[in-house]
Amino acid sequence: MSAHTLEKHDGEEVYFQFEDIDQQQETYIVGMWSFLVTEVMFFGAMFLIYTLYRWNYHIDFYIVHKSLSWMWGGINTFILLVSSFAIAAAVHFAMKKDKAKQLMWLTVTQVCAVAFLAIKFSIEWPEKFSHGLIPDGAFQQNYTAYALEKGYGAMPDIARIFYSLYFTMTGLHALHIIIGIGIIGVLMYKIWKDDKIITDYIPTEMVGLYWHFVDLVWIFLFPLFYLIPA
Amino acid sequence: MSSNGSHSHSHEPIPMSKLVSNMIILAILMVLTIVAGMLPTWVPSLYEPLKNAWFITNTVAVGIACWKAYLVVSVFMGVRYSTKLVKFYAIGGFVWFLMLFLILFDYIARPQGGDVAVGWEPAAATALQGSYTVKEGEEPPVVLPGRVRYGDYLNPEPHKVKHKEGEGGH
Repeated sequence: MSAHTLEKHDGEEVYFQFEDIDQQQETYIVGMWSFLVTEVMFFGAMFLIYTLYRWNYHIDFYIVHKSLSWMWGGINTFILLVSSFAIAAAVHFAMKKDKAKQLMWLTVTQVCAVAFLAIKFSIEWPEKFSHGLIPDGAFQQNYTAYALEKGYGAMPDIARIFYSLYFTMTGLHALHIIIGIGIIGVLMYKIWKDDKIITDYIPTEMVGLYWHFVDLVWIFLFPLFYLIPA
Repeated sequence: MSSNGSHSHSHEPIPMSKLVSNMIILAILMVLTIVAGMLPTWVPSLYEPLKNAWFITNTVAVGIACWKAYLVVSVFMGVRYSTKLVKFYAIGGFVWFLMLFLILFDYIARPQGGDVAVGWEPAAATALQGSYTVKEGEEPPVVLPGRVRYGDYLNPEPHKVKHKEGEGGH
């Protein structure tokens, strides 16, 4: 194995088990996609639960969803789209071996990710917390008070299901964003330091695939929670 | 095996113009999905017609989301420019996702009407036929068959909620 030890900028080295560099790099991408398929199943179960409850309690879901801000949801959608574009641009410049631009676009991605979390954790969730709309033991009473204040409301126990799903699914998504920030941060540090694991564009490409997947999940979460049709 | 310098990339970088145009289309679709979703709220006269066309509005919302997902997967994730094997994995993942929904057949196939399991009554059984208003001093209108009654966990005197909370009791 010593002959195959990674050395600096040896991205074109083909390891013994591969026919050529194309097959080797395809393997990395397929490996990442295998992981993403498991993520699809992970979130898929959540979407399944959501579909089932919305099918059963559509009217209540419609009423409860009005307490979410479509505007902040929309801004967050746009932020994630920009971040997706930014990391695609980072992969583009990684292929062109333009380190400065690659790091710049990765920074844009990071800024977008932090902005997304800032909106979620400092504006959206606290607004719900302030009304006690957390699916705990006191929810029904808190929701009733909230409904009286707003002048409209759904069945409290179904509103509780809605908020359970909302916090679970957007929370799980936010967790993926936090993990993404960590991974992109490490990647940027390794690129900046010319670390030996940064052999070519592949590490950026794989982190990019993960990040696009996070964007993909939000593309579905946004209309399902914020824009329920009447 | 020695390296082959003539194949440094499995595929060429996706042109920036392609990435930018994809971004713009995604942004337009995002605006479109917001407008489609908010129409009943923004144009009250459309509330009733759109409510009756619930199948179309839901299809439009999910359709736009799927279109956006396709653009992200094909261009940003580069599946369009990838090898056949990568395409199979990408498509396979979403086919798998759709197959997961076969589980819902169980619910569709269950007996309807009087035999429905407690907690799985159709939406109409919630007696909430639309958005309703809770007015001060008015009894909540909802009673569920075979389930917890709405009134059980609502304060019997809603207009006194704040007053009672101030005293620290229920």
